[in-house]
Amino acid sequence: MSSLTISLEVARSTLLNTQVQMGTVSQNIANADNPAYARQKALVATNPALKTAAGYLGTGARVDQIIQQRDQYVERSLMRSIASQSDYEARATALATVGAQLLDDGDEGISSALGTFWDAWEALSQNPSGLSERTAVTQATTNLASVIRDASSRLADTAADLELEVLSEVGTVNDLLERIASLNEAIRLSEGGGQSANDLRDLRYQALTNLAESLPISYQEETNDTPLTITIEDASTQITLVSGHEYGELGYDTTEHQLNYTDYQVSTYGDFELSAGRLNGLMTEYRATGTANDLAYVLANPDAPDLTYADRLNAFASMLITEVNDAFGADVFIGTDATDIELNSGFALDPDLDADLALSVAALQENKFDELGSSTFSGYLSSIQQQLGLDEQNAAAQGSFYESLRLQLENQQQSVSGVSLDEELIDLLRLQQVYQAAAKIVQYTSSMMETIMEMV
Amino acid sequence: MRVTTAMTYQRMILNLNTKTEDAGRLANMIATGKRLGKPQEDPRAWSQAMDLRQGLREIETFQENLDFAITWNQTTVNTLNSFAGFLDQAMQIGNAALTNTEDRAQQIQSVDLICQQALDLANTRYAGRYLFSGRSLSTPPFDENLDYQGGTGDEADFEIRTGPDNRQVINITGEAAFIVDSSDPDESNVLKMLQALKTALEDEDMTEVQNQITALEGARDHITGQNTLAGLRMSYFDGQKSALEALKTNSKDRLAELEDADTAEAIILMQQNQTALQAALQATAMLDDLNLAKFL
Repeated sequence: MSSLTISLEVARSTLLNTQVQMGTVSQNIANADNPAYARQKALVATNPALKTAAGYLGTGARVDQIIQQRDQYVERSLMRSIASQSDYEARATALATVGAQLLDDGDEGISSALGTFWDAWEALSQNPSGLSERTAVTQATTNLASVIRDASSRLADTAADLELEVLSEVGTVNDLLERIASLNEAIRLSEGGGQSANDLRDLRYQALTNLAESLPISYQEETNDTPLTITIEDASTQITLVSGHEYGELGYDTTEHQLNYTDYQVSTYGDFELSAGRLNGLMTEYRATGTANDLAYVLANPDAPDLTYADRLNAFASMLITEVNDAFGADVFIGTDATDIELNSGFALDPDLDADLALSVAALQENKFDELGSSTFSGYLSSIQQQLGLDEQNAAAQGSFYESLRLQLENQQQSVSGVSLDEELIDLLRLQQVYQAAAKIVQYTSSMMETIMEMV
Repeated sequence: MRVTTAMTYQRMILNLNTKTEDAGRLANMIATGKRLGKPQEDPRAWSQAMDLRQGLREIETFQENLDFAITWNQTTVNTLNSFAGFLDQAMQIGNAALTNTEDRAQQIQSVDLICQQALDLANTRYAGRYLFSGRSLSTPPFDENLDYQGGTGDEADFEIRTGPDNRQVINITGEAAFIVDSSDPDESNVLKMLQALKTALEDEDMTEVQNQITALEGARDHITGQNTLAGLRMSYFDGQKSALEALKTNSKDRLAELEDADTAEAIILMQQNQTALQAALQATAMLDDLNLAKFL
């Protein structure tokens, strides 16, 4: 009779185990399209056997724990590729915006205005006393200055927008650091009983993925002795962003245009360079767009790699102002660079103008200037467009490479942690069979017990 | 390798996105006829196309300059021809005066008229400037005393640009055209010769009339020589214009090679893309049905 009771007990635990396993399958199916979700599995362990006269009698099985299917190595690799992809995608997006603001195909943009300007002076050289020729020169000069100023202003606006994006990204990073730290604490408390806090870990994985989009993080999951630690590396220094429930604060200095970080131990790190992440992409393009260098430096070092698009536009405008004014022998333009170039309000063309002066201005279009990298004015504009195109092409190509790498690693990660509906449905069939078999055991055991009872 | 639901759908979305993006790019290429839409598509070609456009603009400017130079010299030729015609008339009147004394008053009046018309021709204006005054604009080349007051030396040449590093003189100064010997600007001034002929007729000084007729014959040869120079310049400028036209055609061809789309190729690629997109959509629909849940 006692062994029948054991059979009933074994069947009961089987029915209960199956229900838990069914619950896990349901949870997996419910999260089948959630990329941050790691497939769960209810692990079944055999119960201790009972010693009987005939030997050890099994007492069934129990659900020991519900585990997540994760591969930390793949996930850490994935985080790095996410950071690199976000970096180059941010650069490509920013460069596309800069490219749109500076678009110049020779028919439109500064080149076209410059061509009209030269042509107007050339026509003037043939008829300096002609009213229409003189008006055309004034109009073309005003238009050229206006087109250059507008481009400069749009570049400045784009740079300002990029800096706002940087500030917004810094805010997002701080929110994520706080969130991850609080999830670490919740996980620590939840797992005190030895059970894995799977759903909290999924949420934390999601937050870590989001953080990896912004910063090139490295992280180490908690062990028995140490809490989860997130770090970023700056050349030689390793900066701890989060350690368990402790976290610091990322800052951005709008005066120096640099990042700084104060960790939870109140150590401050200033002016550190990132190697990847959306924040790095935004800061890189911010630095490549706005005015960054003194005009004298830009003119003396036309091939320096740290020249921004605004620097180059300023060099172009500055040389145009200087050379045209020198060739004409009086101020045609006033201003110093692309931000303030304009037609001199006192500029007026004398009907008795020496035609050779006008021709000298028109002939400037053929001159090559050391300050413009030994190129002509129009050649310099072409080189700006070529550089912009190459930068955008490079960012897009790198972004595309890291996207492929991310997809490949995501596939690997999903291969371990993702949910396959077919697999879950097969599990469902298997569990159904087990459940039915256990129910039969209950049914037959009950029948046998009834038979025994009827014998009394 | 386990194939999970999220992976399958992610791959489907990626495939469809890539093909839809390609379709958009090809449709734009066919619609605009342009291969390049942004510098990033081919930065080097974009930059070369910009340089070529600037080069084409300059070629057109040089052609316009040459047109101006040709018309300028055509006007010079016409003016000098007319001037030579007046000299012929003056010489005819002078020769007639040597034998015919009855029409003296009319002869003097005719030579006086020729003097005025010759001065007007020497001070001809074209395109807002004096044809024979060099770079000087506001001052007529010859004043009422028939002295040349236009540009000389560096101020004599009126230049245009006919190439990136090429300036050419297109004008003939009044000094070169109407003063036969620049070392003797009074005696060899053609306008003054006509004036001297008139004075000789008024003074009945037939020896001087004969001297002036001889001087005018030399002046006529000199003007014919200047006219030939203007004609040769026209011919030279015309040749340069033709050379620029050939250069322009080459530049346009190169520009088309750089930026124009091969429409036939783009249409074929578009058709291939459409087929691939349809196949991808079909595969997506099929994959959606390939699910164990459909068979349970």
